[in-house]
Amino acid sequence: MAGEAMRLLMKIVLPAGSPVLAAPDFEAQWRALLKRLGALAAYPKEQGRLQYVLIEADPRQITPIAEAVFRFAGVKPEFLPEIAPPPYYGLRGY
Amino acid sequence: MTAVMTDSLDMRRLLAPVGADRFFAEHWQARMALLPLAAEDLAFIRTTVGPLDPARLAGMAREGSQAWLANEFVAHSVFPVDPQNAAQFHDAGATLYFVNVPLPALTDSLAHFLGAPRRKVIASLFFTPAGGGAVPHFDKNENFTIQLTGAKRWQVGEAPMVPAAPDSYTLGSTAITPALAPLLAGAGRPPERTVDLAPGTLLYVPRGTVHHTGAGEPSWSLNLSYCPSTWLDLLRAGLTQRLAASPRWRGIVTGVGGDPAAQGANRLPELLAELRALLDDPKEAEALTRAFFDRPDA
Repeated sequence: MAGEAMRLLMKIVLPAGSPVLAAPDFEAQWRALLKRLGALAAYPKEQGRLQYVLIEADPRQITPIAEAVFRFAGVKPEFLPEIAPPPYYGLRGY
Repeated sequence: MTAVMTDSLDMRRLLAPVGADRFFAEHWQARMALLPLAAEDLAFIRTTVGPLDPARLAGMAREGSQAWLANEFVAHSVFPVDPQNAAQFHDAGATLYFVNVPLPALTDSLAHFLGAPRRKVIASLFFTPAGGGAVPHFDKNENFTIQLTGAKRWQVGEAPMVPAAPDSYTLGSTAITPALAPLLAGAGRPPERTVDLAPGTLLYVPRGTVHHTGAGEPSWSLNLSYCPSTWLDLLRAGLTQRLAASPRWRGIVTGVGGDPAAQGANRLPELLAELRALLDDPKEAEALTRAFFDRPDA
């Protein structure tokens, strides 16, 4: 059964001096990966060390998407929902 | 043996293993308490909570629901959950947190027992998958956790790291609120105790007490939290309401230093005398308390 897709921002931080980032074909491989993942947009920052990638995914696709990124870049992505969640605990006010 | 029927949450009976008096004398806001529940009390709580269905609970939670996902490929991430995607996050191995599920049969009883404003006591539910858990942190709430299904291991500080902590905090995080920063600066982490929660155990953890958890099997737990109203809140709200009616108290600060003529307009000494008289009057003190409890947001 297909699930409800949600829009997420995937944050990937490549360590300084990462061999993945230094590879001559990094740009081409990265673009190919984003295409396979169905990325809607990508926002590289700090010479590509910090990557924000906009995706739409069913909750059950999150780990497989992260695994593809991990196998390519060797780092775990963090997912940021489009809508900020409510505070961790309790009532507001006072 | 005669079966006991239960139709409300009797906190005195729940606390019977230590006794209500001893609970307030030795544990309240000071140190954890671990209590076995009677079978009929657990049955009443389970019936009151109803089916442990993620979609149903996501639809009930007044302050929203969250999924926490962290595994060998995903860095700790927090997602908003709704009734449509709750089951999918459950299947994806996320920890689910349903915040403020209306269960007045439980929360009103606890608020009544504590003598606390009803709306400050809320019920939340946690689903923890096998292998899931929480990293070391402390909460700003007084928490009563009741294990409903499965088992969960807790490591709990012997005493609060920050007594009467004004905010929650995850150890190691750089996100520290201004109210917490000076209290955290000199705080040491007390030794911890291992506590295994099985269905039908109640664990009280005072706010500011470091704890972390791990579940070896899927686990559901109910959290009854008192998001504290402090004495400071009570006095501030009560006095503001009481004194704002007076044109003298609404007067503006003048004559603190300045020209000798302006110093004649300094009303602080007489206002302090009025405040002392008000606070010494038991009827006024009762009215302050009543005004606080009667506030719609109290």
